[in-house]
Amino acid sequence: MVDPYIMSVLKGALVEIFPEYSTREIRPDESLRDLGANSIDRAEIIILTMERLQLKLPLLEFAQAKNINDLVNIFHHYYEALKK
Amino acid sequence: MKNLGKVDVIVTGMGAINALGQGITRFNSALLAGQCGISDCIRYPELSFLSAAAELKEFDFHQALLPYSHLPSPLLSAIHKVGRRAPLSIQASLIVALEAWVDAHLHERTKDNRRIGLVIAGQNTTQAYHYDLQASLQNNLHYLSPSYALQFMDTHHVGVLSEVFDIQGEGFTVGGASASGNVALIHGYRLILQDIVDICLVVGALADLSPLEIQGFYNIGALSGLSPFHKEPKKICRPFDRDHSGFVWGQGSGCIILESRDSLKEQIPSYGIMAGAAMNLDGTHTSTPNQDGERRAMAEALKNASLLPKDIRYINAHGSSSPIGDKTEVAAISNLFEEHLGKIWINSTKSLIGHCLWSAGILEAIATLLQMKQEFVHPNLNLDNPIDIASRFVGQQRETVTIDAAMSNSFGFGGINSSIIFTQPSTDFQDSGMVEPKGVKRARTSE
Repeated sequence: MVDPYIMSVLKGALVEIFPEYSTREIRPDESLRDLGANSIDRAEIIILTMERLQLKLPLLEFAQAKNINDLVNIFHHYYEALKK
Repeated sequence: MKNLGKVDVIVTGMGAINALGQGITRFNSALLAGQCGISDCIRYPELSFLSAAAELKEFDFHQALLPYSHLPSPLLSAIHKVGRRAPLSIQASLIVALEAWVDAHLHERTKDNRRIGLVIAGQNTTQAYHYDLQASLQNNLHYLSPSYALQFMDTHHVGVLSEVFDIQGEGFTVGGASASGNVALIHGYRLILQDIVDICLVVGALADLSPLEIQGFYNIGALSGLSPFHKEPKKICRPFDRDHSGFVWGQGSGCIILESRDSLKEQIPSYGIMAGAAMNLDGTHTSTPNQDGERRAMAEALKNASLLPKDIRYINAHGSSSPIGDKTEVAAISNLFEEHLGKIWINSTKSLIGHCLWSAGILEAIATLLQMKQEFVHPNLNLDNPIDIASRFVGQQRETVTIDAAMSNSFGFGGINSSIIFTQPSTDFQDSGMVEPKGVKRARTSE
């Protein structure tokens, strides 16, 4: 179960880089790589998401993420911590 | 510089965007009509001294690509992907390179991509990009886009264009301040003469200045600020006129495709021959021009083209509307051309498109070739009281002229002088059918 708010922010960042995905449903089990993002695109999407969530995390935090589900969970963890 | 082996370097494609609009056809019509692209500066209203600029009008990257929708979609998607979030200067380079590429039929021709070269004219092409990013990020550098690491460098133009057009020969940027365009053309010319490439794209980068550069040019006295005409932007840029008071900043980008005529495998129309060129230094770091240096560049260019002063019918001057610049250039031209001065038409395209800085040399070479092809010389706007009566400046109406050989000058801060000679495609080759003169599509509306 992914955090829907974080998912929507991440999707917004994805669409910023790949406008062709604006009307397409993105599944949590898909990876950014599957969606055609190269390493710079992936870094860009993650940084855009961080900016919109006002989080400052090292990119290394996301190195182990295998798919969108993993990315959303990592963001969710730090976003919740920030709110406390 | 000797013209090695007498290889003919011809111009087979051109692309342009500037304050007069997009495309070579538009540019040609505007030159014929003597249209002025200068108006109030929209980008930086906070710079109160800035009375005028020749900015691109309502530029939209997506819109600018619409005329090319018929091209193969891999090419178009590649351009969209890399250009969509790129700085303005990159977008402009893509548009003009695409126009020139199609103009030269390179999208249809068989070619060896390792024999195509790429030279980008310009330095400091990301000033506004950098300035805007600093403003928006402020203390949040953490959120800087990773693509900044690629996009901040002038060589991003090289990477982007070589990717989109699959250019695999030599590629690099060249800096020559306001002479960058000519310096780049000269390097493209040399790559062909030295048989390193058969085809070379020469692209002038759009000078997207930040308020720092504009304030800087104003503070050094080079930019026209509070002139008597400061309430009338269209009257501020006055090359060779008694009331000239400095240059007007112009946004523009241009692309010229040079090819070795001998390597052409099919009949491709050409705009003309780049017959010779020269550049030199004055040995100064300042903005002060030097008559001897300018004269020497013109004289050496003629020698390189195996021509004499009497062979030139038209000079596209640097003519920036700088009092000392205009005066120095006139003196250098008079000194070199002597008794032939009265037979040579002189104008400056800067009164129509402003000073496009890094791409000035490219856009002015394009204007030179268009005038040669269409047999006219465009007006010098605002030339009410010429600073020299012996020079044959074009007035405020265009003239019909047959031009066999023309000269285009560019002089940059730091004592950089350059001059290029263009000639008509030779009549010998016209007979063989190998190279035909290029027709320019006329605008449908009357001008």
